[in-house]
Amino acid sequence: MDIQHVIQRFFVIVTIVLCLGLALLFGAVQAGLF
Amino acid sequence: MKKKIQTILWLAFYFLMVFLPLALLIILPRPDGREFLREVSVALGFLAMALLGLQTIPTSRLKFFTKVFPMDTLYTIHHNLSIFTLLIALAHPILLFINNPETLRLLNLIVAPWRARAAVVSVVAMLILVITSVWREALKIKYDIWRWVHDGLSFLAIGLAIFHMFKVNYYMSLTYQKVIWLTLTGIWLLIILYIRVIRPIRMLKHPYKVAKLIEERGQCWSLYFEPDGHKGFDFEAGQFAWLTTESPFIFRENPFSFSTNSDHDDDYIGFTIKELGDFTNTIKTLQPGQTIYVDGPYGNFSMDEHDCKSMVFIAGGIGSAPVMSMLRTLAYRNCQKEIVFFYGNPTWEAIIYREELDEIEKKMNLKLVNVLEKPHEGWDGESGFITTDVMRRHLHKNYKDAIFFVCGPLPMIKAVQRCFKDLDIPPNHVFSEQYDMA
Repeated sequence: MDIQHVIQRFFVIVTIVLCLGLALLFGAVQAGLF
Repeated sequence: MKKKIQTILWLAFYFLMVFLPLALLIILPRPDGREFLREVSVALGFLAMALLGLQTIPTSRLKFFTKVFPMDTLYTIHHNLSIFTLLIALAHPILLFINNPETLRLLNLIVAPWRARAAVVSVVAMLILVITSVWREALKIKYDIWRWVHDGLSFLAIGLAIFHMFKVNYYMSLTYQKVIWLTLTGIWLLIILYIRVIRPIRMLKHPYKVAKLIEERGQCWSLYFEPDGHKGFDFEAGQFAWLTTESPFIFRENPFSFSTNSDHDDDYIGFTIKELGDFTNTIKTLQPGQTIYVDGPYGNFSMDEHDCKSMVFIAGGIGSAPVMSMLRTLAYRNCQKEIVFFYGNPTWEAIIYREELDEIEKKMNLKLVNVLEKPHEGWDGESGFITTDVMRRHLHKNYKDAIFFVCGPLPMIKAVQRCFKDLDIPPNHVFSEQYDMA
């Protein structure tokens, strides 16, 4: 795999993980779970 | 180093635009919280909105963006993230329905409030966007029609989603959220304005005319243009441009790699194009003097960005066009670096630039390895495909220090990448450009 495709995969995976993580965090904070 | 910093800055900018509105909601004072599923749903809605708007960037062909990221990578990111955006946009109402099944009545567009109607139409538009993009060929939708539909639906989906957010007005009642979302909307609108109005006007003001057309082997044509009333532009060998013979406002342009020497003294630019579809089949009918519009140069598939002692080029068929541009440029510079060119073709007769490559091989420190899929009787060169064994037989001893450039269709690139793994070639030494990125 070349460096462009490594960046491409990293970029998409990081976006997905951060989106899901942040959505769950926001939900937990607003629902008073923390 | 400069490019690395640019890349990091762009990534930071991108992530900031996606996550800033939600991150600020977590950090700063906000309205009272509600049930967990409802709040997760709201967060996914915000993120879907940010990602939806930002999908205007990867395919915008903004020069300061395409200089940092390869165009095919940007299109793949756009493709993948658009599907993800649709999924979280769908998850937004589904979680609300699970949290409170009574909200299902919002799907009844006759009695639903305008905020719900806008949301439903926006999600349906996104669904059609993704379906018509992923299965465009299977649905037999012509490219230019699809592009108009794609633009219209994108505009509709973004506009209605923004309307929905402002109408719901829960977290959007915060002034800083209003400012952020209006700023983001402004940025997206500016990008759309640039793509649809400013760039076509610029192309109209800088037309080219056909200088000559030469028939090549393998149903290919080399097409040369000269600027009509302006100075033209400089490009780097390996880059590409979008061409159209019609008004740039019709958006029926196609991308092709430059095949000429980039260090040219005259203003001519040239492309080699294979007859593969609607537009490419009309190339042979072009007449000298005919007007053509060129949008470019684009791409960072460029040898000038790498300081190396040796280079390896791998191309199949018409994928040799950008490689030829690099070799012509290197020959013009009298470069004596060690170069190996693995060139895959179906037959001996299909080898584009065959005689010129032989000439260049004599002038430079170039080893040309023709690999024929269907070799003729008596052929004593490599046959079949470009495999690990073929590469091992011809690469220089210190091949791991070389920079590798690969150009061809996606299956070929994937196959070659498997060879690179076998040969233990560092990923940061490999640069590829694939076809069919749209």
